[in-house]
Amino acid sequence: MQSAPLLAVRQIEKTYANAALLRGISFDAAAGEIVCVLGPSGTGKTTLLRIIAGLEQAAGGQILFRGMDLQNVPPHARGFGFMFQDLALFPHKNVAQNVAFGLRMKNVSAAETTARVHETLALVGLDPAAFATRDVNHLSGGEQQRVALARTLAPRPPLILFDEPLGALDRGLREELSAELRALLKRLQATALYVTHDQDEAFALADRLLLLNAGCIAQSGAPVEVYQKPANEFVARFMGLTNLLEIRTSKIQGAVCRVETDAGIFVLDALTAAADATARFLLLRPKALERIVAESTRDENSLRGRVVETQFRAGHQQIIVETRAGKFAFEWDAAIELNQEYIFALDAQALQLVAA
Amino acid sequence: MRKRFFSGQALLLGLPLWFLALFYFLPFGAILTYAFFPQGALELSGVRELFTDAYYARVLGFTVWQAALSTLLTVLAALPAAYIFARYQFRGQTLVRALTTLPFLMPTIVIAPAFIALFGPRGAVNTFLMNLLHLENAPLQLLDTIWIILLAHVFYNYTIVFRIVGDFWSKLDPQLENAARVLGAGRWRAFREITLPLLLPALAAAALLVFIFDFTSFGVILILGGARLATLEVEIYRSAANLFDLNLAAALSLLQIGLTLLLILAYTKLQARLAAPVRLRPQNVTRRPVKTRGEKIFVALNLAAMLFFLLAPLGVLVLQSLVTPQGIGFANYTALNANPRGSALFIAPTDAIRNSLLFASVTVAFAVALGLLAAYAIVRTRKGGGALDALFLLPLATSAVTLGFGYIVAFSQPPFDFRAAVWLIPVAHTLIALPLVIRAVLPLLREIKPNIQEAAAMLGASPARVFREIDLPIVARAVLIGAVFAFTLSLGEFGATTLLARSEWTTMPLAIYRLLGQPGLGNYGQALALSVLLMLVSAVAIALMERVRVGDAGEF
Repeated sequence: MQSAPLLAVRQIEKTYANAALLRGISFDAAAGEIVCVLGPSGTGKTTLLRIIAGLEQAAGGQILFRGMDLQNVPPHARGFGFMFQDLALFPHKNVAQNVAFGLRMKNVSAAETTARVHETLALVGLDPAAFATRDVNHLSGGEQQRVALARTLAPRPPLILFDEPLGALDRGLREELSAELRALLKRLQATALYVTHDQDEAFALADRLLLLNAGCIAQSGAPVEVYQKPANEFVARFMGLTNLLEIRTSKIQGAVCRVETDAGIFVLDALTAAADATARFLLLRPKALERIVAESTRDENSLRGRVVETQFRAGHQQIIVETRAGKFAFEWDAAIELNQEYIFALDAQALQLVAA
Repeated sequence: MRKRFFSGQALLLGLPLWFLALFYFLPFGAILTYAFFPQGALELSGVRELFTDAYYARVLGFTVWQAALSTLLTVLAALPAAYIFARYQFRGQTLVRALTTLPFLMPTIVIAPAFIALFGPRGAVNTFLMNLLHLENAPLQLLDTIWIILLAHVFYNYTIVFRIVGDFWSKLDPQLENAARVLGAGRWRAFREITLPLLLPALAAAALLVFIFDFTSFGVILILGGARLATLEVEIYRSAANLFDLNLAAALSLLQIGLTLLLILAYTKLQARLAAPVRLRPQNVTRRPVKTRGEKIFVALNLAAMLFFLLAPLGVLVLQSLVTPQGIGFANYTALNANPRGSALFIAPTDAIRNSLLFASVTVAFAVALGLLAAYAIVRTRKGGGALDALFLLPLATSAVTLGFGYIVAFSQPPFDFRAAVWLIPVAHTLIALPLVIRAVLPLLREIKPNIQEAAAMLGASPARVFREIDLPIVARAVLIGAVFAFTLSLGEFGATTLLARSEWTTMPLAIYRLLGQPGLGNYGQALALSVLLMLVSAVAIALMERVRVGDAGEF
């Protein structure tokens, strides 16, 4: 028997300044799952999180937790954890007092509170002996982050809501901390909802991604699934898959799908290409270039263009190819000459149809 | 939450505005009326006297040039220390830095006796020289000269330059100067072309602030300058209190108000520029330990000079207060309890202490209540909060003597006939303290952001619990800091009180002033003893405040 979801969000709506911000958002989160809500800024991610926390009222819809409607439960009685973007550490309390706050609200005994505070500080990588009595105003950014995390974790909330808690950090520290945070949440078997606009952060953390665009869920699924099968143009572009060719005509002929674009004609396996008559774009994945071919040896599944730029990335070389239909970026590790025109044969497996 | 702003709440938040209107703008208006319409009709004799009598041109000239010279000397004296604290790291740095604030936090009225104790005819330096050279008379006659005024001004304002310039300097990236060196600039050239221009806004802001303080300096000049040296401020006092020429005093006050307003305006403009597009670095990056022998000598010499200059006057004041004709002892202190016939005061000095504590307590109550209300109004008003903030800063731009004089003119006839009403004294103190209380309280109130209350709620705190755990403790700290500001300010207030207090309401600063003006060893000793007590009470109050301060709270 499939167990009921821990958190069920049903048809949440919210208007802001007379415009619809959230248009009927629905999703579930199972116990122990880390769900990342990902989307550009201004799409209502934070508002959704605050509605679940009870800090804001929805215009419509329902939040169910363990099957119970939270409509009339004030935020302090929900028992969720919430980590704020600007951390919101209590400036008049020291590190230990900040972390102990939630435990005191639950009337945990003083002895146990002290033990839990030390345990949680150690858990987030802060030496309790060195940090317990420190003034929170005099900590570094990374240390404040850890204190805020410890304060959120200490009462062991059944659901933790994260509102871009790493947003203020630089990239290196953010990547390090997001990996660390995932390991920690998994160790605690915590259920978490994590809002971010950074896809790398979301990939590093999430069991499941929830892509939000214009108040709707654009796609939901495991990170690898979303990356490999972007549901539409928005998702593809947001994932950094920007090699999109507009389709002029397409038709399915038996087992293959024939697509005509400004850059040529492409033939895809109708099954693997997620063939769909409504598709508007052909996606050329970054690894689509197979080899360089001589002039006019083949017409289909080839791309003619001039290499205008080469860049070395972490593990590979990226080339920018200027074609009749625009510029596209590919991975290409063999030697290649700049400002030279080439014809590339494409791997049909790396071609995909994408909806508008 | 914001909807409750109307009705009762608005009434309460409006109180500070009413206070400002009645006890700031009304006296201000009265001065204006008095300057131009002394008997109801337009009468320009006071104003004309100001512009035709060469004496007042000289007064204004002296006021400006002594302030300018004091400022220049202060900047030159404080720059080396600012550099050392900005670029080097050494043991005891925090302690020394804290000690340097002492002179600035002392009531100005204590500084005059301290310099008399050091350089006066019976002072430590002269006694030392007389013993050393076997002289009959004091060789150094600094009293009533410009020199002792300059010294006192440098002493008092040193901290301002040291702190403002030093703090800014310590966050300037030393790599910039290194970059210039690599490009071929010598050490001095790199300083002149890179560091100095970047430092300029901080330097200018500090210098202007010092200039404002020197320009409106009152107690120091009245006591140390003698009868010949008078600034605008002293002249207002003399024409109001000694010559009873209210017409002239009003005209002089107007000039003073206009000039200080201009200066403050320039200062706020400059302060805004302190947020220049310079990438500020954390101090642990810009400071390095003292390493070479040369550096060690340089730093040690500077620190020694700095500590000697800043602490000697206060130390000598304490020592000299213990000197009596019978040798070292507490005779000067025990004499404070007596009120001998024919003394300079009409009451015993201990009564002056009682008066001062009474006024300070009332001022604390007024200033904290009004300051908190005003700060709440500034924080909670979404539009116009900045304008409100600026409005409450205005009293800072008005000299105390002008304010006291304004009260005399405004409250001596119906409908506001409060002549010689004793409560005008704490009211004047409250008005002077109000801007500082608001400045001290504001950053704390700003800490109570909605997300902190939300964070507490998410951790399980009910709304009542949030108020008790978050709002209340933060406000309590703000109250304490505001109270200490108001308390020390009232204790040391001299300029307004001297015009408002009748002799039975003499305060400690007034008693010190009167005792110093009288001949006789006993009076001198008692003045020093009273100064030491005033200094100690202020120091204790300030130490108390430093304990509850968080970080670098206080918006100045």
